[in-house]
Amino acid sequence: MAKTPPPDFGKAGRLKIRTDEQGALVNVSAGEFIRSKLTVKGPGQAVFAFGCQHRPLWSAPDFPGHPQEVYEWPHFKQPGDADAPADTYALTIAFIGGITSYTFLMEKVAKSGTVVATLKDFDASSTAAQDVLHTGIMLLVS
Amino acid sequence: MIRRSVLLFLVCLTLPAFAHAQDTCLPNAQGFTQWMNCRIDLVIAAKSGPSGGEKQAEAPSVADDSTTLVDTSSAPDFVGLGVTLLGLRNAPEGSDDTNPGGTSITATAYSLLAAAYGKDPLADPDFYANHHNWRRVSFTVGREPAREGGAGLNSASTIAGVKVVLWDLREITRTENLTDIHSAVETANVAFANIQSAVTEILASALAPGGGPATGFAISSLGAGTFKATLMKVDAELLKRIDAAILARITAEVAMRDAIKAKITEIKNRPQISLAWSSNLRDATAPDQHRFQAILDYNLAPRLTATGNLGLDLIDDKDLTLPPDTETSVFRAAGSLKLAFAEPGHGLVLSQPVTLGLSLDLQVAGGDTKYKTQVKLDLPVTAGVTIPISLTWADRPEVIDEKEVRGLFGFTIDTSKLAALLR
Repeated sequence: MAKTPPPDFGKAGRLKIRTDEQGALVNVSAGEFIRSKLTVKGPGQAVFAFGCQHRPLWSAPDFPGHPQEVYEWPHFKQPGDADAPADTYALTIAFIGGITSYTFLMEKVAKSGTVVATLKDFDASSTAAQDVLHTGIMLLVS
Repeated sequence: MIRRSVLLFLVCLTLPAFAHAQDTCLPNAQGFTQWMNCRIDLVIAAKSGPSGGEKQAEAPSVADDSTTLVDTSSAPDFVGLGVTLLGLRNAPEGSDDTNPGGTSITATAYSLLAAAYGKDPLADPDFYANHHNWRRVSFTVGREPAREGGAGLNSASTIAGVKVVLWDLREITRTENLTDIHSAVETANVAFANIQSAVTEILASALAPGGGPATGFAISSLGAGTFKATLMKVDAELLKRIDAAILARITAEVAMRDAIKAKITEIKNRPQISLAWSSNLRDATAPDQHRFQAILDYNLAPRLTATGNLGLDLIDDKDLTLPPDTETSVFRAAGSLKLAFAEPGHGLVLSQPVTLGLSLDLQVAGGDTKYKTQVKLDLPVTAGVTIPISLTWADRPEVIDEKEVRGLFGFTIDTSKLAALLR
């Protein structure tokens, strides 16, 4: 009988990473911004937070349609979005709400709407309610 | 001299291996993200040291061949299947009672609604959250074979039942259940951003001194293609500095994990009450049996669950002549204690430890009291699939239709748990 591999995170977490950048330069003055999309699956409601080193930015209940299947938010589109020229941004996802799978896509997008680079693209799944996963990226804005 | 040089060369060659070999997070890490999460787990574990199954998939207790004596308050979210494979009985001499046991299937109104809408009932969070009340109602249908000649109450019957959860505080999707968790996750998220920033700064200053801002180091040295080579250079001393940086910023992370753990325990321990009707329905030549009851589930301790049933058993004689000692109206009270042999390890969804249950069923009719007791072992095979083995004693043979004792063996499938495992 094949031995079950250890979880990738937490008690029963599984990760499928396609892109996992840890840093990026964002030319905000040229209109570049960051677009994040979180797709959730499972019998429950998403529990997640997106923030920087200085403050929380987005949480699941902040979205008018919560609970929903897809959560999308831009960053660096509004004046005041950047708290510091170099800042670490993080996404935390939790499985206590009954969600069993999250897919996170973070892209750097040009002013025209064209995707310049994919910064994060992964699937995280777990059947353990206590599991949590963090991911972060350091962004330097100019 | 040559020997010493060779030795020195070998030591130099093996040192980096020894340095990163201490990092238990690195070998399995697919990326820096996974490595960071793993290091946080390790730091918390080092800091803190070693660190409910109320959904019924079996046939209702009114069925003679059910492996349970006491019904629980709720049904699986999707579909549950209960099969009694084998009955070991003191069957009357000369009896041809060789029929297999009964089979039942239980489905929530939610699963039927999802089918009607063509929705995956366990994948669509909007649909799941917006149809909470549909999961309160469940239906059971099944078949129980004839036994002992198949006359009267021993004839084959159709099992039918409806259960409605009246008081359900265990629903995790209730917004008020998660309000404080959202807040704890937000705080831990900001703390993680600071942890990752500090760790990146430490790595950059140690491995690329004078190399400019840490962002450049993060881009060039911690990406998917480079992180492993970078972290291989981390020696024990640097790892200690990294862990110290994590430890200094870990308070919010620990608070979030404690809040999640406490919430899981709190939700599991809340009581749940339901009303149920279950029946053995037969054709016009045999009487029907009905059971109306209120059901309460309550967790006395993390591993100990109490369940109570209170209700009335009625026999619809259909103007048939029943055996003289048959009571058509019986008051019934039953209770069980279920002990889990392991701390539930998978939170709310897949906790399936081996459990041992002890049940007592009292039936009062015409000032006369009869009782049954049962010992039952539930052996989980995999998520959602359980083999229940029960042994029942009665103070009077007629209560279980046998002389003294009955052993039943079957299996149950909770498709929601099975599907969650297979996803």
